[in-house]
Amino acid sequence: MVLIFSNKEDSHPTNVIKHLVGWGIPVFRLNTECLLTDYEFRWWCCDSQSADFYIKNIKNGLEVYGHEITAVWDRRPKIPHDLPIVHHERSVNKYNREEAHEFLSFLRYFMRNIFSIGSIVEDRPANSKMLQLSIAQQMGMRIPDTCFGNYKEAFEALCASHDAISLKPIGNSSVFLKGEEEYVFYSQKAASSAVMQQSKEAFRQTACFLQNYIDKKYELRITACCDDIVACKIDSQAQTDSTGKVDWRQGYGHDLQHEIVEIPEHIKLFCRKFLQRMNLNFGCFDFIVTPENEYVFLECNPNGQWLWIELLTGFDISQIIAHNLSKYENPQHDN
Amino acid sequence: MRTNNYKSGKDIMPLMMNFTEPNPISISEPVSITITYSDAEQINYEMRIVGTRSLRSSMTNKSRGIGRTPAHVTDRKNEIDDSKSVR
Repeated sequence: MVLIFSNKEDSHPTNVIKHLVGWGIPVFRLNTECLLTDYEFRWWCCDSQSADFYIKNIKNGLEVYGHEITAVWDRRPKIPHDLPIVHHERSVNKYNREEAHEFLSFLRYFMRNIFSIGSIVEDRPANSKMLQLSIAQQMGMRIPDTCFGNYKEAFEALCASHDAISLKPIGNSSVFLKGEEEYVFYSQKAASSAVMQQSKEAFRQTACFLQNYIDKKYELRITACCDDIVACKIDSQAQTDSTGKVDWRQGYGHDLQHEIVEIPEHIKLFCRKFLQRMNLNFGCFDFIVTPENEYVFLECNPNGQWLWIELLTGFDISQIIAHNLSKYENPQHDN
Repeated sequence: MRTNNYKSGKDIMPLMMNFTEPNPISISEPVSITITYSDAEQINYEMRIVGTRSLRSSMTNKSRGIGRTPAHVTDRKNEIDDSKSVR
C-alpha cells in the first residue's frame, strides 16, 4: 500500500494515482486538512501487540494498517482544519486542530524508516539554503557568492566584488500593506551601488539574503527522484526583467518556454549524490547555465512542484514518481 | 529596477521591500475552472461551467421614429438558460 499525505486541492497526485491503480498498486490518500472529519484513526502499542496503526476513510470505505505500507509520499499535507464539531469557543477549536496536527507529526515520524518521497522528517533540514550551498560547494559544484546578514557592513565585500546583486527572499512570499498593496517577493536584480545606498535601518530589520547576480544563457529545473533525472530547460532570458528574466517564477502566464533536454552526466551524478548527502529521495534542482555553458547550482527544493512541467512538455514525470513509490510493493511487479 | 523611497523612522521598510514593486490588491474575477476532488477515486478533476444558450425568441416593437408605425422584429434571446459543471 502506498500512503499519500496531501490535501484535496492538490492536483499533483492525480496522474500518479492513476498509474499506481492501473498497475494494481493499492493507494490510500490522506487529505490531512480533513483528518478529523473524513477519517477514523487509531495507533496502539501494548504488551501483547507491537506498534501499529489503522486509518479508515469514512467517505470511500478504504482502510489501511501501518504494517501494510511500503512507501509514503509526503506531498502537500495541510494542518488539520475541518472539525466534526465546531464550538462557539474559538480556543476549543484551536485546541482540537493543534492536537490533531501533533498526532499527524508523531505518526509521520513513526514511519520514518519507510521509503518516502518528500518527508517532514528530512525536508525541514534539507530546505536550508545554507546547508544546500555548503554541500554543493563541498561537492565541487559552482555556486553564487552568497551572504546572509542583518547589518549593512556584512554585505560590503560582496557588493565590492560584483557589479550586480541578486536579492532573494529567505522564506516569506508576500506582505499585504494597509489592505491596499501586496508585495510578492521574487528574486530581484540590483546594482551593487544601489544596494549600498540603502540605509543601515533597511538591513537591520530582518535577515537579508544576497548573492552575486549571475548572467544566464538559460535556466534548468531538474526533477530528481531516486536515480531518475528529468531536466527542463527554461528559456528565461527571452523574457523581460519582470516576466521571468530575473526570476522565472514570474514567467507564469507570460509564455515562458519550457523544453525537456539532456544534461551532462556529471550534473546527473551531482543531483543523485546531493540527494544521498541530504537523505532525500526527491528534489527539484534550480541551475543557471551561463553564456560560457557553466552550470551554477542555486538551490534544491526537497518537495518542489513539477506538475506544470509535465503539463507544458508532455513528459510523464508522474510515471517516474509512481514507479519509485511502487518498487517496494512487489519486487516482481513489472511497470 | 526602481527602488522605493520611504521616509526615515518607522516608515523604513526592510531591504527586500525596497527593491520589490508593489501590486495593488484587486478583487479576482470568478474562475470558470475549479478543482473538484473525488473521494471514490482519490483524484482531482478540473470542472468547468458549461451553459446551454436559449433558442427562444420573441417579438418586440422597434420604433421607426416619431409618427411612424412601429416595426415588429424577431428578437432572439441569447440567454444561458441552463448551466452545469462538467469535467
